[in-house]
Amino acid sequence: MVKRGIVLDNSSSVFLAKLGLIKTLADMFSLITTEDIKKETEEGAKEGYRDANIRISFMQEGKIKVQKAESVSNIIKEHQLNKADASILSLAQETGYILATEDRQVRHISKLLKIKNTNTVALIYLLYKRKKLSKEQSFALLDLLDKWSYNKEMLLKAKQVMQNE
Amino acid sequence: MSEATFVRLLDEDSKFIETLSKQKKTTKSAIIKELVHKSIKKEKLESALDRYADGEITIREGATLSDLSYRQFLNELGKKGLLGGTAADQDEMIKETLDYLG
Repeated sequence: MVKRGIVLDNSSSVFLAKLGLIKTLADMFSLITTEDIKKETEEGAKEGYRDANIRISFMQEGKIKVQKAESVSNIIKEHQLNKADASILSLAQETGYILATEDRQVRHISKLLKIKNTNTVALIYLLYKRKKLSKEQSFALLDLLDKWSYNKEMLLKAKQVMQNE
Repeated sequence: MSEATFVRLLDEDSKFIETLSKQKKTTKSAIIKELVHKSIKKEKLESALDRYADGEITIREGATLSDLSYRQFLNELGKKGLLGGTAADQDEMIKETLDYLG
C-alpha cells in the first residue's frame, strides 16, 4: 500500500519535533520537505534551537525526505511569495500530499491552489483517532502547545472535539 | 552612509538625553542615534506583526521585514497569540486531515 504523505513547513515541524511526534508520523506517512526549509532548520540549529537539531537528524536518517520542488518560480510569480514559501506550496501541489503549516497566509494561498491543509493540532487529533495517543496524552500535548503560546482558541476547539467523543 | 537630520526635540526628551549621555559617558548624538535605531526596530516588528495578523504576509516575509530570523519572528507571533488561526480554521483542518490521512 502506498503511504500517504505530509509536506512539512518549518512552522509545523518545529512544534512536531518539540512534541516528539516526528517519528510516529514518519512511521505512518511519508514526510517530505524542501531544501529551503532544510536551510532554515540549519539556521535554527545555529541559533541554538534543539528541535532544529532533532529535525536535521531525521533528515539525515531519511525519515524526513528533502525533495526538490519544480514549479517554485511559477508560484513566486503568481502569488508574490518568497522562495521558501513557494517551495513548500509547489511540493505539496506536485505530490498531492497534505501541507502541514501554522502560517495563516501560506494556508490561505494553499486553499487557492487547492492544496489540502493540516497543522500540529489536527495531527495530534489524528494520532488520537488512530489510537497512537491516548486522550490524556493528547491533552498533555495540547497543554504544552498552550505553554508555547499557541492560539488558545484552536487548542480549546480540539479539546472540545475530543471531550465530546 | 549615515545622514545628518535636523530635529527639534521636546524639552523633556532633550533633558532625558542630556541625563542619559552623562550616565553612559557618551555624546548626546550617540544616545539619539541609539534611541532612534531601537525605536525603528520595534516599529518594524510591530508593523510586521500587524501585517501578519491582517493576512497580508507570511511568517517568512514578517521575519524579513522585521530583520529577525524565522525562529525569532515565530516566537514574537507566539507572544501576540498569533500562532495558528481561528476555531473555524481548526474545524476545517481537522476534517481535511481525517479525510486525507485518517
